[in-house]
Amino acid sequence: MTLTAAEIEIIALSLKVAVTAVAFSLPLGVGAAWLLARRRFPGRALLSGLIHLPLVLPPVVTGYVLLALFGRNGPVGAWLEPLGVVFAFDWTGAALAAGVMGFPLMVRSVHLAFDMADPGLERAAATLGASPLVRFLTITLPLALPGVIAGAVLAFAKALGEFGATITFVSSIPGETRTLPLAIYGLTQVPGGEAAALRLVLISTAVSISALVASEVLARRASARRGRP
Amino acid sequence: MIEVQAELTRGDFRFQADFVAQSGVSVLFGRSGSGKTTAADLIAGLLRPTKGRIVLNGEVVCDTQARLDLPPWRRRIGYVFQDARLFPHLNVRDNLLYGARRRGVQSPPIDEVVGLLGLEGRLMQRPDALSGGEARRVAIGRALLGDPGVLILDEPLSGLDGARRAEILPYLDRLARSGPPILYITHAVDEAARLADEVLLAVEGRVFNAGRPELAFARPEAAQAAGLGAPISVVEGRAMADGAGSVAAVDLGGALFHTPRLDVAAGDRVRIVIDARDVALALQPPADASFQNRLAVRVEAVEPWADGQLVRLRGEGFGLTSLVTAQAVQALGLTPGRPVVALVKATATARYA
Repeated sequence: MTLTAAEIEIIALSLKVAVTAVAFSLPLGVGAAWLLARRRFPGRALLSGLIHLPLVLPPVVTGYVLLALFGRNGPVGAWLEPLGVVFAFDWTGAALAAGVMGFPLMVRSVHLAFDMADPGLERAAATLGASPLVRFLTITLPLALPGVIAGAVLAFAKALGEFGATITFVSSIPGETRTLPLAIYGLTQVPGGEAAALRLVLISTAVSISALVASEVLARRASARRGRP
Repeated sequence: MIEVQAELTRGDFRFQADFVAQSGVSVLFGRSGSGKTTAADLIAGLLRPTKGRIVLNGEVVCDTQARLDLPPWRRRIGYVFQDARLFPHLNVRDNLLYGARRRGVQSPPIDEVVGLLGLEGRLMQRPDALSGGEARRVAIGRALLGDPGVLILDEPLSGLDGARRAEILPYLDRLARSGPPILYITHAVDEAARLADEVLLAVEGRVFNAGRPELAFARPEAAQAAGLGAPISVVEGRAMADGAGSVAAVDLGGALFHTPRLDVAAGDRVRIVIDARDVALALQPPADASFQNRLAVRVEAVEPWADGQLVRLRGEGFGLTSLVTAQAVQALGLTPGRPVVALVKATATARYA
């Protein structure tokens, strides 16, 4: 099966969107998960609720909220535009939508990993002269690494498959915001598009399975480094 | 030197400590729940006192009045936890060097510590490949290499079987001679008697310095802290060879004390622990009796204890406590100053080299 130029463009765009989404949400997700796992502060329940909202809202609603906030006339969008950051009807908007939708999955996975890391080890590190930041970097994060990897892969898979929020927020513009699922949907809506849609379905499946295998390999390596099977 | 004056209230638990521990090995002795670990956590900075002041080797690390409370990573302490708490993602070498790297210790003496603790050949292993005894030793080495001004050992032998304890004790002995001041937490009389230069007693949330072990264990609070039925006597002396050539006697500095065979070299200092219930008293050395130890002593004091009387005795170079009935005190006329003979079966002693 040889890929057409149009198919390569779609795959490249989808990967760009998904990688960007994960790259930007990972540090935020790790930070939020650490706050939820290790700190008790006012507004903790609110933060948790806000993070998990995209999981329970219809994706179209999330897309609508993003449009209202980050559109050219939205409060955040209007503020960012003079800085050169534009989300509306741009691939960056697709990445934002994908990132927001994958965020709760990532945070849940990392949160669980932090919960599993024994706080007693952090106390031990503290008595050995490690400040809170150093403890996080040398003890907590390495111990939680398999969970962080799993969270990143989940978010990546979610980003690759994200449909509802993306189409609501940034529409389906070829070469700009038309990722794999949007392209597949588009093809099923035109007569005679079934064969092309099937090709994209197979490609999409292949990409997702590759990501899953890659994550498995990474997680095993991380576990081996911790000395556990 | 460790100076602690601290109070802490948590729910129903009231903790109060007021003690100074000089250099050497200070054994913090008491039952579980008596506040031992609380005291250690306060010194390490893992707990904050409600009120108080803590000074380590002259440096004030906590003073609630001055609103000063250095966090643990700014205190020069080493803390060996009951569970070794090795970092599972680091090998033994990186575990050992963790504290040294954080504190920027220049060329930490890792070879020396590895030799002291017998960890040769283990450096590249992961913690989960170590035995329980090895893990404890790595934890001790890790704390030592952080160059601590005070080393806290929280029950370093608990949960280990006899063989593993025997494996670690010699290392602790060496450490006690060459290392930083040690706060050694335990509820085991044998460890306390063997290692202590002085004894801090923890009794129901109150921690105080009870002095040298021979004095500390004679106190009623020590028996309470240990959950013992009666106080114990700790006597110290030099191991001696008996006529048959085996080391089975201790020179208490004048008097000779017979014991079962000792696993030490002649000339080594040993401590002997004697339960007050195992000390009988007579006015004359009895003929035809099996007591191997017949020690000339004088009655110092008589105190009530539970349903009996504690008779404090002093001999040449040692003190001893005997628990007898009130009738015995009456019949023998035991009053301060009275010379008597203390009778102790050789087999009734526990000895710790």
